[in-house]
Amino acid sequence: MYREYGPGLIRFATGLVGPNDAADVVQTAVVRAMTSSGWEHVVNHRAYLYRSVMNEANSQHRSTMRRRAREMRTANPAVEYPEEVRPEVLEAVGGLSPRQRAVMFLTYWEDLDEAAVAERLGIGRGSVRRHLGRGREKLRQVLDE
Amino acid sequence: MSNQLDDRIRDLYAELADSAPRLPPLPPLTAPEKVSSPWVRRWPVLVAAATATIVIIAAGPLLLGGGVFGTGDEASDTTSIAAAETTEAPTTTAAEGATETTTVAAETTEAPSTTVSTGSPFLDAVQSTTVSTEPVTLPADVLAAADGLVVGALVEFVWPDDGSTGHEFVVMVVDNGAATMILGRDCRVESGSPPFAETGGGVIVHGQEGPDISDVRRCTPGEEVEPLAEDGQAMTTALIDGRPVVAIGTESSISVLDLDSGATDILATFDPSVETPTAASYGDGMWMISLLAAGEPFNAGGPTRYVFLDATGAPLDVAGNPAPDFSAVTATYRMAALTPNGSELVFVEQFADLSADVVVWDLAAGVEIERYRVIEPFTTPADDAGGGQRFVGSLDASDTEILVNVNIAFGAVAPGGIVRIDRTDGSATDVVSSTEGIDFQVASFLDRP
Repeated sequence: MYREYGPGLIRFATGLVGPNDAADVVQTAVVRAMTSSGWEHVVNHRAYLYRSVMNEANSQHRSTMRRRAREMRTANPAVEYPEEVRPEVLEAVGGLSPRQRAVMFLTYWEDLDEAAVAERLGIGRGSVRRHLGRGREKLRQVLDE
Repeated sequence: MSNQLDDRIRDLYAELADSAPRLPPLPPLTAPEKVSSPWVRRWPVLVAAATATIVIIAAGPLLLGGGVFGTGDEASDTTSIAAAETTEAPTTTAAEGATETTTVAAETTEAPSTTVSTGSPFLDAVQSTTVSTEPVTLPADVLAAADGLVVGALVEFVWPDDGSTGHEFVVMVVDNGAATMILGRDCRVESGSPPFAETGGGVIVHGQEGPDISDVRRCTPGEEVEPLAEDGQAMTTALIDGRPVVAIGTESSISVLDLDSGATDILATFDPSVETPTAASYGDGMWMISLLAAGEPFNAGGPTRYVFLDATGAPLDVAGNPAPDFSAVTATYRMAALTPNGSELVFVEQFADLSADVVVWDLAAGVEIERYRVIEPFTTPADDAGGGQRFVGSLDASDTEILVNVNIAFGAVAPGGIVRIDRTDGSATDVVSSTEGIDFQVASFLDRP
């Protein structure tokens, strides 16, 4: 299962946290998912693992950034990417929230429709529309500059 | 144009996906070890904390002696006792020792398709996407104490999908003894202001999807949560000529959003390289804006000054405007609120020993008329269980009461709580206090009495 879904999860995580942390996020998420008490009851393992990766990325993002940002306003939302990725790409994606990144990645890389993205991430279709709309608008602003 | 944009975004993600690293080997899956992980070992503690020990600290001195919430060590002791009383694995009932509970079912929305129950109704309730799907069970004494308040709490919980841990901010409205969970996930508040209040059936909260991305939302149970304004922080709400408005602060401005018309007017602008707004409050035709000097830490330091504006944003010269003693450079004055009649300014002074007072200032006379100690001095790191500074996170004031939230900076989830000060007799009551796993950070009056 890991070999089957792993490459896709790695790309997904790269879209969320960048390639530097993608492997760690996937490893942690998969181990947690597969060792959780609810794993044996999971019907859609693929969707479950994608949500696990998104949650792990969210937790990583929040644990390091949220509190400091709220209290000190010194948060740096930049995501670290290797130098081979063009700076404008980094700037564009770095301005999205983790959930926006997830929705955008699944929409534009995996070509999933709204319903499929909602199912994969376990969120409502309205939320997908909202994140997609806001993500597109943010990328449009950056790409038009 | 749209297709062009989509193509460019696809190219962008293709480039990003190409940078993905190779699939790492998966570590051995050792389920038994996971079951005995530190997090799971804390289960009884968290369940007890969540379901039974969201308690009012009835024992012990509150103000003017002994501290409001005690030291972190004391908080740990409380949690340990709760854990000892909970001998079984998590269940969906209140732990032993819980007071009578009231269960309130919130409106429902999309539930996770696969849910691993935490065993705690309270924590389960915050695991839905936006609005709780499970009943919220809180001890009756907590409901009674928090009646008439909007309470925000940071909880540590297990993601329903995979059992991983995370933090979540939830917002509850307690009205007539019933608690309604308004929001979980992504709806955050900035410290330093009462971020929401009841306005025409809705609750204004500050949503945050990323560290620098924020918006202002009006939330009602069961409704889709949509931003009212982006790039801002809900600092306070008010009724102006019968119209509900919310003051939205950014680094450089204060705007007033009319909730009926949706119109937004900029009330005042500031140069963020000089100072930035930290709090706003409205009373009887007058706005008070608290300004923090640029470069000063938000949760400490100073100086801060107050400016007063009329409803149109024109400056008002308030003769009794307090001038904080900036020689006490460690004192902070960033938290402040006007009483509804606009005659008093209530603000926080925090000192070098990290003690803090709430001060009531008569604006007409220009004198201090009341002072309440809300944080006792502490001098050693051991006194500070959260590893950070204890400070007043939010403040709301009326003519008869003051609501103060104390929490700790830079902890993960650290002891904090809410105290209600009765100005008529100087007494204070703990509304809620944090236990491990739940950190009450924000409170405001539902309707300022």
